[in-house]
Amino acid sequence: MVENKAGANGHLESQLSKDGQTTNPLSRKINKILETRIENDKAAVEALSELSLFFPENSMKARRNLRGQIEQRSVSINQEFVAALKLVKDAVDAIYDDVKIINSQCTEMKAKLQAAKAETKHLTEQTAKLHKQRTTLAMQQQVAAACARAFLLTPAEVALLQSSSPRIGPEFFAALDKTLAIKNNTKHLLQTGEQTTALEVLSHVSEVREAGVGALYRWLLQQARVSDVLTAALPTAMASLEDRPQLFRLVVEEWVVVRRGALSRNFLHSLTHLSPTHSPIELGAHSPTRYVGDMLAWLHQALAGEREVMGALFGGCKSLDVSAETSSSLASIAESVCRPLKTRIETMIVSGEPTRKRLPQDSSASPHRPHVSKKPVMLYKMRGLLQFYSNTIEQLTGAGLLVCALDELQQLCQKMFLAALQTQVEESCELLHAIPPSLAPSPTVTSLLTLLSDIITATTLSTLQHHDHAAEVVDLVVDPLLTALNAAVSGGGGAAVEAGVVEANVYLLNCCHLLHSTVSLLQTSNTPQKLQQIQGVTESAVSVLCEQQTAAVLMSLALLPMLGDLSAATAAGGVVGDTPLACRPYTSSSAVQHFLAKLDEFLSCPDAYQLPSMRHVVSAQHRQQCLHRCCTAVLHHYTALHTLVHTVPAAGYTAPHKLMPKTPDMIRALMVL
Amino acid sequence: MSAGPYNYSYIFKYIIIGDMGVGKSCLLHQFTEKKFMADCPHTIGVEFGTRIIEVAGQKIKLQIWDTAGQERFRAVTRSYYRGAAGALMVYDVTRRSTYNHLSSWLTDARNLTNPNTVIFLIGNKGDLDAQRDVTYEEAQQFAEENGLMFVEASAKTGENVEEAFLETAKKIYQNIQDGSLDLNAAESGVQHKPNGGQAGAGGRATLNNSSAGQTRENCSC
Repeated sequence: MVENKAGANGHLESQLSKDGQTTNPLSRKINKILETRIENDKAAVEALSELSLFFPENSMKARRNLRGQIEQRSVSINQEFVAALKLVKDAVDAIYDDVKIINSQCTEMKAKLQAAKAETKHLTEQTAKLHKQRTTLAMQQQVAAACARAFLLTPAEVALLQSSSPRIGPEFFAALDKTLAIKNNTKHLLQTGEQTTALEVLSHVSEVREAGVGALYRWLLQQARVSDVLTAALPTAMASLEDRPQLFRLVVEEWVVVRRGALSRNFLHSLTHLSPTHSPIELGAHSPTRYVGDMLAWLHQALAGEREVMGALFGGCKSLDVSAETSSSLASIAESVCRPLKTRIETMIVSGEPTRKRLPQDSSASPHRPHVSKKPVMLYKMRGLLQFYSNTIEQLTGAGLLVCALDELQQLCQKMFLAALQTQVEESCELLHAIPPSLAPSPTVTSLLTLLSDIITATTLSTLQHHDHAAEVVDLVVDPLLTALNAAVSGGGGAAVEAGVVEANVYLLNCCHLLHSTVSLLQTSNTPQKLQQIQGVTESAVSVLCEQQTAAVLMSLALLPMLGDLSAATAAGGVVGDTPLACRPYTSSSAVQHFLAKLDEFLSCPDAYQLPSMRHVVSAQHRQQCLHRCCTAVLHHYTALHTLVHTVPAAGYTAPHKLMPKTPDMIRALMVL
Repeated sequence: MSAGPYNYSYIFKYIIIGDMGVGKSCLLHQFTEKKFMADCPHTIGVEFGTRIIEVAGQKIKLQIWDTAGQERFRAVTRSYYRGAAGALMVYDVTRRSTYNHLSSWLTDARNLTNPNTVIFLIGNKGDLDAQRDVTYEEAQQFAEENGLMFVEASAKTGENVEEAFLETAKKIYQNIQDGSLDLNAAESGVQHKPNGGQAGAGGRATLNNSSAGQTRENCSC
């Protein structure tokens, strides 16, 4: 308050002084004082209001005391202030202490913080390092895992592969495939220089793989032995063994052995076993072709089944030629039936004729007939059958022992067939020298020719080789037969002499006729040639018969004695020697009339003039041919006579028109030539 | 690893018979390959085809023997009748002669197979209706008189081909279920694979020529 008043005073003074400086310092001061507005001076107002508190009355005493009072107040105020300030100071001191403490703590904390920071930095670094490490490790782990995948087997897989009797299934094959993959991977490893590791991995994997393959091999062998079941795993198992050719071979061999056993067992079983609905195949043995056919058909069907099995077995294999492998295995399997089959078929081929025993009525039905065995036909059919099945089975097994055996049998059959046929023909030909009274082809010839056509028309299963054999067969039968017939008829055999030339030739002609009609139906490659051959023999027989016939007719027409004079007169212009023809005894007008009368008879019934044996000629054509040639001869002589009678006066015939009214043309017309 | 080809419960043996050129081989080809073989050569002797079908949930393998129709092969083909569970007798609806010969084929089939053999009559070339020479009705009557199953089919279009083979199999299967077809009898033409069909993928199926099965087949040939 004092300060305020002092301040106010000072202010006042300064104002006054300012005025006074400018004009008159005093007036300025006065002015200033006058201008002073106490109410505007807050300090002053406050000081005054403060003053009013302890200066209640404006007395002298009071005014005198005022100073002291103010000083007193000032002191007290100051004291108060000091006291207050002391409080403040204490508080500030306390604060200071606190702050000091805080400061020290802060310092401490700062230090700590610094330390911690230092420490943390290390940690962070460590973390970062660890993090990096972790990434690296993760990568390494991945690499390791990949590595393990590429180069290591899981314990489970190892256990599976090394187990003594593993369950063969998809897992096993997966594990086995893995070993192979690892082995392949190891090769890359070896190339990249990781030799030690690679070798270690390789040896381990190889060992496990070996064990697995071994187990698989044993399992396959076992499967082969119990091969009434085919598991779905088998083809895969076989495919897995593909890279082990030796083991593969052994397994295949085992299969083959087992299947061979089964096949031959079943074959014999079906041959002999009686079933409710069908008799065993062997019961059909009385009919060789049926028996052999049944056996081979059975075999074909069985082998087709076996082929399916073996094909399925090799079905999974990739590197080998499944079809060829199947065929060769099948060929081995088929070998097992070679012996039983071959012996049976051989017996059928070689043995005597079973039908003869079975069918005695055959011989009793025609006891007088020479027996012509059907064996060649049977053998011929069987040969075709063997050939057919040899081809059929070859399609299944390829070339193999069974096919060879069938081919051998076929050759044997062919040989036996030809031999049997030859024997048959020879035997029959020996019987030919006797000419039967009917002059018809003897039963021997008939049956031989029946046999021939039976053979050629026997159902042949292969059209290809049909004709070669057929031609050969025709040769084999026809040639000896013709020779034998010729020999019987013309050769100095007693038969011809006994029977007479005409009969012998009629017989020959009849035989040739039959031969011709038989052979012409066969249509083999050599048919035209054979027919020509037969035709030749026929021609000669016919010409012999014609001669005989003509001679006989000329004789009965009384033409024969005329002929000598007739030809002499024709040559010499109507005279024989010096005598006119009409004066010769055999050609006189009466002789000519006699001849013409006979000729009329002949013309009205030429057949009556036929030789008796000619009636036995089977072929009407041949008969006609003889008659025709005979008539031609007669006409020829008639023409000669007619010419002489009508145109040669030297011949000495009177009234030629009366004697021979008919011209040769009229005669020809009557002869129906 | 597919168990497909091994996964079946039964094997049925079929034989296809009929005159030359009626389309036996084409029917077989249509059935096994689902294709029409236009220039089918003459069958030499016998040929063989298989297919697995399903009847009443059972997988059945059909083993089909297709015979040559030519007369010269008759002696050979007769050996293949025995043990057939089904016989498909085929004629050509456009050629009456092939229909007329049916009775001779039927006689062969009856004599050479067992009484349970299912004989199915097929009138082939049903697509050539314009050239038809044998009516459906008369063939139907023939089939009824002789107790045969009958259908007209076309190997060319494939119509009814599947049905003929399947119906035969169904009938055979039905005979097995009835007990009229004795599985233990040889010659039945049927082989049963007890653990075949049911075993599923990893399962086992008996070999078709297992020693047991073979025994049956043996006698069937």
